[in-house]
Amino acid sequence: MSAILNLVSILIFPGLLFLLVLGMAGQYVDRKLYARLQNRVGPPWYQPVADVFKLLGKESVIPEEADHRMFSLAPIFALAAVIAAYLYIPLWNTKPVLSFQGDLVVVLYLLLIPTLTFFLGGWYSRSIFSTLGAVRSITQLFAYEIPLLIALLSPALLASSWSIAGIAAYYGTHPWRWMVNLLGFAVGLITLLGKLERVPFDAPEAETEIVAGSFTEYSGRYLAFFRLAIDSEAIVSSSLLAAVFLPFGLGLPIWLGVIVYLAKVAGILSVLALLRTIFARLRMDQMISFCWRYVAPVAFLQVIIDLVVKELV
Amino acid sequence: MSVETDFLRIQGSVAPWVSGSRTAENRLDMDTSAERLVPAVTALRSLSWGYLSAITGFDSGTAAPSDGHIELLYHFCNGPAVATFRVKVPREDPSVPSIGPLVPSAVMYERELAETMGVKVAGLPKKRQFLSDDWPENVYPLRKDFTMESAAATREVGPAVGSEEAPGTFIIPIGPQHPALKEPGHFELAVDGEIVTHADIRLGYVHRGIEKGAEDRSWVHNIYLMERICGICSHIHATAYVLGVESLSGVAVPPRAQTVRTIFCEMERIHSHLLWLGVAAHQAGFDTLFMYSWRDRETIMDLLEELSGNRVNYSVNLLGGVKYDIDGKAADSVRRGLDFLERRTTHYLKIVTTDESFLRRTRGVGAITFDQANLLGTIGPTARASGVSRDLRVEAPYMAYRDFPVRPVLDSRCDLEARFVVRINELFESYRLIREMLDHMPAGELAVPAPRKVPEGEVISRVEAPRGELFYYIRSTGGVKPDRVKVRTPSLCNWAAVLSVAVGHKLADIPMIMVGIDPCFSCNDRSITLRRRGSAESWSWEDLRAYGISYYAGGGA
Repeated sequence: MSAILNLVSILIFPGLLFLLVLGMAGQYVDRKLYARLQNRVGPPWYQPVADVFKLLGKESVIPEEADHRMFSLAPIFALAAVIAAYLYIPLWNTKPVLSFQGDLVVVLYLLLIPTLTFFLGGWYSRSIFSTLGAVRSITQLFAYEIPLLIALLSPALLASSWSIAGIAAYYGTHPWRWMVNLLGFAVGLITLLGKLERVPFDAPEAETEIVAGSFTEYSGRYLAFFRLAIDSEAIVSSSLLAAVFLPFGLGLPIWLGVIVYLAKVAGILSVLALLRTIFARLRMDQMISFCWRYVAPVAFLQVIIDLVVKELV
Repeated sequence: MSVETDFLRIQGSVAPWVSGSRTAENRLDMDTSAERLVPAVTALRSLSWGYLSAITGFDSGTAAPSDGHIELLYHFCNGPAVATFRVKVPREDPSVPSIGPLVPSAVMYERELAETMGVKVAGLPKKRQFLSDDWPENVYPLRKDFTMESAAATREVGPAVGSEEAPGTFIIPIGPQHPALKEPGHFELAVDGEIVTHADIRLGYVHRGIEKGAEDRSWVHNIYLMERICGICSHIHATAYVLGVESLSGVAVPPRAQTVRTIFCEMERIHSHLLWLGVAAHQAGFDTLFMYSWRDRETIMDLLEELSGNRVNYSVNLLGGVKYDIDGKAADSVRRGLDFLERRTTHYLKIVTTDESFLRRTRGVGAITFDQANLLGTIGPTARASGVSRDLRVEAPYMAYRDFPVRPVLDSRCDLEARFVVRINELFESYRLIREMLDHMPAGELAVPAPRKVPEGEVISRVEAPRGELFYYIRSTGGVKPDRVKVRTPSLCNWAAVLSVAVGHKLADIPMIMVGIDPCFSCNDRSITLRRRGSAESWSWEDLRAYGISYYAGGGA
């Protein structure tokens, strides 16, 4: 019985199917808001679904020189890793599907995998644009990943728990203490732009220089899987930020809890869309120096704040 | 210093290498020979006078066998003055030395001569630049004895060019199809990591043989052909052409017509600069500015449509005047549009000079120093952003610019930011000019009749297009068709500067630097043969027309 339940939670709710639907809805929110902020009409609500079906119907071309296995497996790995990560994150209550002490670190590792697959997929495409995009993806990873990691660890320090569920439970019993971590939340939002490769940190897929970076050679269903993985990654990472930095409203009745959860994710996605509207693309060197010079010190400051607060309370 | 004293100075210094010289208003023609060309150009360069504006070649034809030659005209310009070295070479063996070592921007023009005229230019890189790779050898379209049949043959083309790679270099091809390029062109960038170590260019993907086509059309028909050289600055091409033809036929155009033409020129500059602003912002990944500037550009497009009925090819010009008038009601809607645009432009100026993330991509990037801009012969806003004052509207006013003087817009910062600031400030100047012209529109006729035949002679017509000086050389033999129409578009002058500045920059900056000169590929490349499904066939104009009619009659199937 529990095996069937597990299967349901992995494949349907809150796993694969639910995440894909949310991912596409998130893509719609992002695109529509981005368009409205630019005084454009924007896509209709079903556009993300239509895009997936269109891509599934298209020919999937693998370049002759590419490593066929790596090329076709990369998008699947990306999607699998994202779904696995989602199962450890508490959404509208403090009980995720899976949980153990230290799962915060595991989730961070799982969320690294999509970026690694961008690198591998691009690298094994063997085209110049893909290779350059792959190298840029991995270079950028070193710039944003460490501030993100530090920012996420600081609420854990205060909660004295390495599990996301534990962190959520701690802030549930100590309401308003999450306000201490707002700096970390800001760091999380900025680094998320890097993780999702969006303006101003979209140099790895800067179309005016390197076409589509790692994804240049991807087409058909492989591209559809990558797109789904990226959309889902946006949802999972926003949910992670919501669980760690905005842990309120977790004891509500389920219908209200779901609404609060969706509002949090939509809010984070909207801030990301707003940020990508108002900036120009930074060059790689500018992106790296920005992350290390400004974002990383703020993340460290957050750690110090949490240590001090922990001593005081 | 006046043009006359300049000319005297030039005549004095080049005298040993020149066999004869004539002056006319703002023109100095000096006859020289292939052997004496290089010392003559050296002498002129030593005066630091002007820049090489264009090299024209024309074929005098085989009709007069005693005089069967190709004549090459090296036009150097400085403000309103044009000094031309004329070199006659025999048709059988037309060879001249390259002046590329003296004037770097000459290489492009010489390449064009070599491909279209069959002039052997010693010391020029062999790489094709304008005609397609499978264009047959030894067939030169601008020669008078060129036939369509001779172009039907094809040349064997080797496998795709993989430049000989030095170890450790990585060649990034940009184009002919690439998201950064809205029109086809090909760039090869050698990079070391992210740093560009060498840049090269191949043009000609949209070469349409317009200069050759012009020789086969009447003087009137050609207005419409010239207008189709460029989809952005269509009007300025037609204007440069009609100004030249009118001066050859001695037609005096009524002042109201000149003012209407000038208003259209300025409106075109506005839409061109706004378009550029959007494209340039897009290159920097700043799509929000792109969307807003293009939204606002619609204002001017709608106004152009309201005035002429068309958004792109307005066909305002006639030989001897204009077709459309701008009456009180139309003038009011133009004024309203300009008021809106002026507010928006103020906002854009603030963005490009204060937005932190955007300035990181423009400030100090892609600098073309004053000396480089001068030496490499850059023109237009690109030159003006390096402090080089080259604006024909100011230096050699034509049409209504004589009565409505233009204030030059200059910036000495030389970088990409300066190119943004210069173009945006030029927008304000255009708004002011249009308002003044609308307020003081001369009364009178819109057009006077012009003769169908144009008297024998040649004329140089230069106007300031949105991208810089546009150069037309028109030659008539007294018939109903021109003998030669040479077009040198502004984009062609600025490539040399871009290619030399690109080296040493990061790859990420290259699209911005390329777009910084506002390149227009259609302008550069001016088919004769259509190749379908592997078979080569030549189509005549009538065939094409019949094909077009039957194609659309079948619903475009």
